[in-house]
Parts: sequence; structure tokens; C-alpha cells
Amino acid sequence: MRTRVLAAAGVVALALCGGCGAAPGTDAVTRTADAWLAAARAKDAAALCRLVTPAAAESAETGDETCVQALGDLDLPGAGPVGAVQVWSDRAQVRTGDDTLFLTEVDGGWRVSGAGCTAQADGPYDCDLEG
Amino acid sequence: MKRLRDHGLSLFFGALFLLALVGESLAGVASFNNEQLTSGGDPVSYWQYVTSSSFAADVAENWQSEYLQFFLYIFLTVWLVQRGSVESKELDKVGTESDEEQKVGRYATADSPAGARAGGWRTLVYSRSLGAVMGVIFLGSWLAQSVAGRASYNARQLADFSDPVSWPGYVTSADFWNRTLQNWQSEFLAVASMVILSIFLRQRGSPESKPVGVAHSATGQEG
Repeated sequence: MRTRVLAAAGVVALALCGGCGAAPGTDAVTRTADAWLAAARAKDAAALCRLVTPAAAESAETGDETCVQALGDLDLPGAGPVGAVQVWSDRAQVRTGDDTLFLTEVDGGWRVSGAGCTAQADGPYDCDLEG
Repeated sequence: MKRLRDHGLSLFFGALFLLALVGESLAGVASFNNEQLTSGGDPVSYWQYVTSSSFAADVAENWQSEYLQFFLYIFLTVWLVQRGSVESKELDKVGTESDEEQKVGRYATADSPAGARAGGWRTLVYSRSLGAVMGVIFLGSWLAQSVAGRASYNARQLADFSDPVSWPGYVTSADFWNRTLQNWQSEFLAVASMVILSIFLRQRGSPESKPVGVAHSATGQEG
């Protein structure tokens, strides 16, 4: 009971540092969000498909429909500008003029995992595209 | 060899601590990467994991509860006693005891620590230094848990298409208190078990037990 070794300060500091919240990468997230909004405004489904995560693309595709066809059918909001950006680990959230985007870092780059999202009173956002 | 023997307890538990921490990190990175794959994220390297908020929160939440346990135990055993328990001092010694009993100030001996001989505020602080340091480490670890836990929680929130929370929001959340209290309850149970079981059970040769032949009612005796 009385023999445990004090070995604290270093790891507490590491713990605090490890939890340092909004990580670097905000600029890269903003660039992806800007590209996403431009593609949405231009109704460029091919560009949108290049910006989504593999999981989101897969969830959008139904039956024989390709990603380009599926995203072309969605009327995703594209109003700017990019507003508040929050980055937590490999996940990010971006407020835009008329949307809330969710992004995931995949293969070293940021991709959109959720778009066309509407806040719900209780529970997660309801997103037209998510995956 | 004699030096090793003289410090065996510290060395053994120090080594166990490091081994357990490495084991936790290895199991943790495997578990974390499983979750990453199911939530559409990339696997992380071992180094990325051990510097992540997820690992920091897991480590800190266990640390804070351990140090809380010792902080409370050190302070409460000044005032609370348990008849028959090896973890309790003698029943008539409740409180901080006299300077003579504690060998401080003019009752200090030649080999007393400087803090016991100094008198004044230095002795006052030194007389409470063990509990105070445990308390500070507890608070530091708990703070670290809240900061790292919030970062980890917010990453999960975003993966679930939910809003991140502020620090005040996190420290009043179910996640924070669930993580905190599940650690606290086990620590308090362990202390209560030790206090009570040491009344009736013995471990021959251990200072955590009374000598085998000592009566159940004897209090404050170590084997």
C-alpha cells in the first residue's frame, strides 16, 4: 500500500500535451472545404467525388449508380465562406455559409465524410452524404 | 547486490509499472486501430498512438484515481481509525499527534529530516508533504484526464457526426464522470477491503499484515 513510486510529472505533462486539442492541420482542412464548396457551387460531381472519403463514396453509391451519378443527384449546399474550423485528431468539422461539413484525414489528406448536414435537437447531424 | 536488495520494492514496482505501461500501449494501439478501421479512419503508428489524446486519457484516468486513493488514505488515516486493522494507527492517537510523538521542533533527533528540525512554516509544510504531493499529482492527473479526454471524446464526436464539446461541457459530461467514477469505485473498494481484511487475515512476514499470532482486536501493529 505504501510503496508505489512517484513518477508523475513527465507523463502528466505528456498527457496534457497529448490532449492539446485543435491540432495543426486547420489550413489543410480549410483548403479541402474551399475546394468542396467550389465544386458544390459548380455542380461538379466528379470533383466532389475526388474530395470525399472512400467510405462516404461507398455509402453514396447505390446499385449500379457510380459516385459521380450519386453526388450529381444530391443538391449539396455550396455557399461560402468557410467559417469556424475545429480539428480533433484525424477528424474535423467546418461551418460554411449554409452547411456543416465533417472531414476525415485519409492517406495524409483531408476528405469530406459528411455534407449536407442538418443539426438535430438530440443526437448526431442528419447528413445527405455521410460515411 | 546489497544495494539492489535494499531498494528491491521500489525497483520491482518501477519495473512492473514500465512493463505494464508498454503492454497497455501495445494493446491500446491495436484496439485503437480496430476502431479507426470501423469508423473510416486511417490506422496510426505506435508513436502516433502513444502521443495521442486517446492514450493520454487512458493513462491519466487511472493515475488520478490511484493518487486520489493515496491522498485520501494518507489524510483520512490521521483522523479515522479502524479497530483491529493494520492500516489504522492506535485508537487513542486520532489527530496530528504531539510534537514529541512526531519528533518535530525541539523534539527532533540528530537524524531527523531538516524539515522536522527547522520549525515554523517549513516544518508545517514538511509535516504534510506526503499527502500534499499525492494530492497535487491527483489534481494534475485529473486535469490531464479532462484535457486529453476531451480531445479524444471530440474526435469520437466528429466521427459520429456530432458537435465537439467545450472543456466545461466535457467535465460535466457523462463520458468524463463515467471514466472517473469507474476508477474511483474500484480504488475505494480496494482500500475498504484492505482495512477490513487485515483485521482478520494474516500474511506472515508482510508489514501490510499484523504478525500471525496477534489478536484481531490489536490495532496499529505491523508484522
